[in-house]
Amino acid sequence: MTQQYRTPTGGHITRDTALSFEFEGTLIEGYAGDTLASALLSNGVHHVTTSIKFGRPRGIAAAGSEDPNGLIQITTPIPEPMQLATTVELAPGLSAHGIPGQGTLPTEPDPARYDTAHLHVDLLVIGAGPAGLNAALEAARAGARVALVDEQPLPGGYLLSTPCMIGGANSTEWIAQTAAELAARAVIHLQRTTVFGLYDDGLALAVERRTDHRGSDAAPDSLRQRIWRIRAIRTIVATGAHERPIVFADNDRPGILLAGSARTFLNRFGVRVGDSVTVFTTNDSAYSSAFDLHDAGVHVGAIIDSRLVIGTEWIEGAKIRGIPLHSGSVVTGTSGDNRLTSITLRRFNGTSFGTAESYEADTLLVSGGWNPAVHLYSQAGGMLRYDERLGAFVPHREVDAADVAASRSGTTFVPHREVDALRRPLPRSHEKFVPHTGVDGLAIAGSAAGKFGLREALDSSHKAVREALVDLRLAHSPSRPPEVEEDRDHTPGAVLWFVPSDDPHKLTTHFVDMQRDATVADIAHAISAGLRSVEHVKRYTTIGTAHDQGKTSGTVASGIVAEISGEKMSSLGTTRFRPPYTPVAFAALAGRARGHLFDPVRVTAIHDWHIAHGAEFEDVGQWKRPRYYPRNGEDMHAAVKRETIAARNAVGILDGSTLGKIDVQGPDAAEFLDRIYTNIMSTLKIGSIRYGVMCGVDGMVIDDGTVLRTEEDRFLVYTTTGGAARVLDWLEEWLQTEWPELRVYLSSATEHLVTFPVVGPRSRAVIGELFPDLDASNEAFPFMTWRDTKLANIPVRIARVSFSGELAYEVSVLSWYGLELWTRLIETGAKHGITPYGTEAMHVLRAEKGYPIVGQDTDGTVTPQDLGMSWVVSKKKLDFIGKRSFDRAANRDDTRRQLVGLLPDDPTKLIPEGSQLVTIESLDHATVPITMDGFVTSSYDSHALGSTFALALLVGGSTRLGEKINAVVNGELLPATITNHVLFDQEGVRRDG
Amino acid sequence: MQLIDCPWCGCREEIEFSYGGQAHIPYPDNPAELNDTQWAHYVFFRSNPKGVCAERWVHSAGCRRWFNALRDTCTYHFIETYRIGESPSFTSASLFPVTESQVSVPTEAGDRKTQ
Repeated sequence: MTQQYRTPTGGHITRDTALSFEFEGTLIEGYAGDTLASALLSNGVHHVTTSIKFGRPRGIAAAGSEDPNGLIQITTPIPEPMQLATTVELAPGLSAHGIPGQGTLPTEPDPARYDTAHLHVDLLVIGAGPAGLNAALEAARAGARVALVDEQPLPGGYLLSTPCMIGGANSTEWIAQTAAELAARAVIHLQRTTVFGLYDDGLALAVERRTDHRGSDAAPDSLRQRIWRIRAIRTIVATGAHERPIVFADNDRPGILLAGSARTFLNRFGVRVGDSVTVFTTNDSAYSSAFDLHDAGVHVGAIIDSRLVIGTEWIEGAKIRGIPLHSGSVVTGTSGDNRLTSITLRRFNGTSFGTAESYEADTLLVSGGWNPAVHLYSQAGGMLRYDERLGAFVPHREVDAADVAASRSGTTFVPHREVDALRRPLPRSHEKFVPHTGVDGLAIAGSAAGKFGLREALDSSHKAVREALVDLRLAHSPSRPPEVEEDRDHTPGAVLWFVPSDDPHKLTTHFVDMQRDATVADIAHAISAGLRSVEHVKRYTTIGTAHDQGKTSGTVASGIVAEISGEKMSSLGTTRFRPPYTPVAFAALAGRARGHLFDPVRVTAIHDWHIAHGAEFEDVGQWKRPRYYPRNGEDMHAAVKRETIAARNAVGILDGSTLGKIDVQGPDAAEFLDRIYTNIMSTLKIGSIRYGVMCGVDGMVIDDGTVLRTEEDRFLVYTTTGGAARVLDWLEEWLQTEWPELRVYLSSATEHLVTFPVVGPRSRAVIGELFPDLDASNEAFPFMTWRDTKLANIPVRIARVSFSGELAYEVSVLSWYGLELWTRLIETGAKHGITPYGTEAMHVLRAEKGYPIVGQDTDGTVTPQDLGMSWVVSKKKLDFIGKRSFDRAANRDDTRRQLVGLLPDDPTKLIPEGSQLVTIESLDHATVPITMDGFVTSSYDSHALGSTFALALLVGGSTRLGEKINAVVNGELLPATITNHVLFDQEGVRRDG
Repeated sequence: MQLIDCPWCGCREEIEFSYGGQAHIPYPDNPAELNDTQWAHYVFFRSNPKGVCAERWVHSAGCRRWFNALRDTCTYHFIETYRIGESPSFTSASLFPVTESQVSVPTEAGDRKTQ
C-alpha cells in the first residue's frame, strides 16, 4: 500500500524514515512518528477488529488512549496482548493483528527488564500540553525542582493537533523553545511516561515506556519499562480532555470517529481520515476539524449540528468553504459493511423527528462535547461536580487555594517536611477540625479543569503555578503566560447523550461502550431492573469496565441513565475513577522483584553443605530448610524412615539454625519474661533452661520455645522459626506501650548463632569425643541445662534440650564458625552412624512425642491447657499475659478442642492433615450438616510406632482417650483410635540416654 | 500511600508502618479483680467511630517505635501523631463535625502511661 491518505507535507512525523510493518499479515508502510493507528489510516485502513460480543466490524474511533475500539495484539518484536493501535508507536519489526476484545498472553518468557525509580520534587506537572508546559516553565524559572511527565512521545499535547500562534511564535517553535528551556533549567522531563495513579500526599505512579518505540532495534533484554514513584510537594494535573461521542443507531461502524481525533490525525500525523467526510456535532469544536480537513483537500459533505443557534463565524466559515450546514439535525442511522458508506440525518427538535435524508460518506466525525480528563484528580480524592453547560464532570474546588496561601512569601529553600506541614495546616493548631478533602497540594489546570480555550487554559495554568509557588515559598517570576489569540468557542454546546426513540429498549445498536458491546438498550434494561446508581448500572451493563475504563462511555452512560430514569445528572454523579489510568503491565509493576528477587531467600550458614549432600529443601517462611537428605534414589518416605531410625537408635543431626533467638538483657529482664511467659522464668538459674509458652491476652498460645539464662540480667529466648520476627515485635510492643518503666533491651540473635541438635542414644559419645573438656554425663550435665565449652579456640554453647524425646545436645556457635562445627560433628559422629536429618524427620520425631508446632497444631484458638500443658501455666504468679483469660467460662468449657493422638485402625493408612473427624458410622444417609468433632493437625508414618499416626484437635479430646473416631478422607471414613497426644515413650525414659 | 509522621523519624511512607489497634486501652491494673464481662471488654471490645479515632502504630520498618495517632476513619488521613506517654494536641472539644459520642480520643485517666 502507498499511504494514499498522507498529506503531501506537515505533521510531526519523519517523512524520510519510512517504516514497514505487518498488520493482519499484510506488509504496510508508515513513517517514524506514526502510531500504528495513524499508519493504518494513512493507508486507508479503518477496519481493525471485530467486537467482543456481536462480532461487528470496528475501526479506529479516536486518536489516543481513549479509543474504545482499536484493540490489537502485538506479535513481534515483543509479544503483547491488549494494546491500542492509537498508543502503539510505529517501530521497526512491528507486526500486529486486531483482537475481538481479548488477547492472548504470550507463553514464552519475557527477556526484557523492568525497574522502579524514585523521584522527589517540589512540583510535579502531569501533562505537557500548553497548560503543563507553561506551568513547568514558570515553576522552573522560579527555582522550583520540577518534574514534567507526559504520555505522548512528543510534548505539546493539544498544540500538536491544533497549530496556532503562541507567545509570538508558531506552536511547534514554542514547544521546542519551551522544552529547551526546561532542559536548561534541569527540569526532569519524561515523555512516553503515563502517570497512571495519583495517591495520598503527593504520590504519583508513572510508567515510562523506554524501548518499545525502537522496536526490534532495542536489545531483547533492554530496560523496557520503568515505574516512577514520584513524591511531589505540589502537583498540577494538566491532563487535557477527552472528546465525548454522541450515541445513535449504528454508531460503531469503521469510519466513524471523534472529530477532534480526525484533526489530530491530520495535523499531527499528516493523515486524512477519509475522502468524503460528514460531521455530526453539538458544539463549536468540531467546526475547526471540518474546516482543517476541507482546507487539506478533503471533501466535507455536510456539518450536522444538533443546535439551532450557531455562532456566525462558524456559519460563515462553512459558507465560505461551501459546506452545507444542517442545524437542528441529528444522525439517526448509518450503513456500510466494513466501512461507513452513508448516513441518515433528520431534523430533531428534542421530541420529534423530521423526514429522513441520506448522504453518502465514508467518514463521520462526531463530537458531543469534551470531558475534562479528571481521572487522576478524582483518584486522589478530588470531588467532582456536574457542569450543566459543558455536560461534563469537572473538578469541584470548594476553597480557592490562593486565598489560603496569599500571605506567605520568601525565597528560602524549604525542606520537604516543613513544606509538608505547610501543606496540611490542620495539625497542632486546631481551632476547628476541618475534614481532610484529600486534594491538598493538588491543582488542576487547562482543559482538565474544564478550561477548553487556549487562553483560559494558560491562565488557569498560571494561577495554579502561582499558588504552588506560594506554598513552596518561592517567589514567582514576573513572567506571564504566553500571549495567544482570544478564545473563540463561545456559543454554548448542546448536551445530547443519545439520539432517542419512543422505546429505549429498542436501541440495540446505539453503542455506549463499544469495547463491551453495551448499548442504550442495556442501560434501559438495567433501569427496568430497578437499578439507579451509576455504579450499579456500570456493573449490570459492564459499561466502563473494559481496558479503556470508560474514557468515552462513562459520562455518556451517566447521562443516559439520567435521561431514562428522570434523575438529575448532578445527583446521579459518575462512577469512581480508579487507578490505573491506562493499563499497566504486571511485569512493570513487579519491576526487579521477580524470579529469585521476588522475595528474600534466607539460608543458614551451612546451606552449601546441604546442597552438596543432596538435601531436598522446603520453604519455611523465607527460610530454605533441608526437608530430607535422600540417598541412593530414596523417595521422601524411605529417607525420612532412615533418618528417624538413626535419631532413635544411633545419632542424628539437624540444622536448627532457623529457630528464632532473642537476646533479652537488662536489670528487669527476669521480671519482663515472667509477665510474658505463662510459667516463671525469674527463678531460672544461670546455666539452666526452661521451656515456656507465650499467650495472647486472650489466653491463646502464640509461641513456644526454650529460655536460657545466660547471666543474672540476660536471657536467650528461643522462638519458633516462623515466629521469630512476630515474637520480637510482640515483646517490643509490651515493653514500649505497657511497661516502659522496665529496663529491658531486646535484640534479634537469630542469624548470629547457628544451632545444631545432635540427637539420639549415641549423641553423648559424639559430644564427649568432640568436646573432651566437657563432662557430658547426665550427672554433670543434666537435662535442661547448658554448658559452655570450646572447639579449638571457638566458644561453643551446648544445651541439653530435646525436641525428639531422645538424649540430645543442641550445639550453638557463632554463625561464622557454623560450617566448621557442623563438619566436625559429622566427622566425629561418623563412626556412630551420625545421620543428618531434615524437617520431615524432625516432625515425625516431635509428633511421636506429642510436641505441638505452634501454627500447625494450633490456630490461635488453642490454650496451653488444650495442648495438655497445664503444667506450663504458673499457679503462683499473680499475673502474666493471658492469665485472666484462663478463668473465663469459655476457656473452661469441657467441649473445647484438645490435642489428642490418633492411631488409624489400618496402620498403613495415612490420614491427611486437615481431615475432619466425625462420630457417625457411615456417610450414607447421614443427616447434614454432620457434626464435626475436630480435625487432624499433623499426620505421619512412624517407624517407631510401627504405624501411621496423627495429632488432632478434638472436642473434649482429653476425656475421650481410647474411644473410636472416624476421619473423613475422600468421601470415605477412616476409623482410628483416640490416644494420648504423647504416643512414644510416654514415661520419658529416653531423654537422659 | 500516605506519609505518616513518625514522632521519632519524621514523615515516612505508610508501608513502613504497622497498625496496632485502638490506642489508650491500658492493661488493667489488676485483671484478677475484673469479672468476665469487664475482662472481655478489655480483650475484645473496641470502638469503631466514624471520624476521629486514636490508634496505635509502630514504625516497623524504621525505628521500630510504637506511637499513637489520631486518624479520621472516613478519609483515612492522619491528623496527628504523638509519642507514647504524650497527649494529643487535639481534644474532643475541638473536633468538628464529629460529635462527642463518636470520638474515641483519650481522656487523661485513659492513658496509663502519661508522665
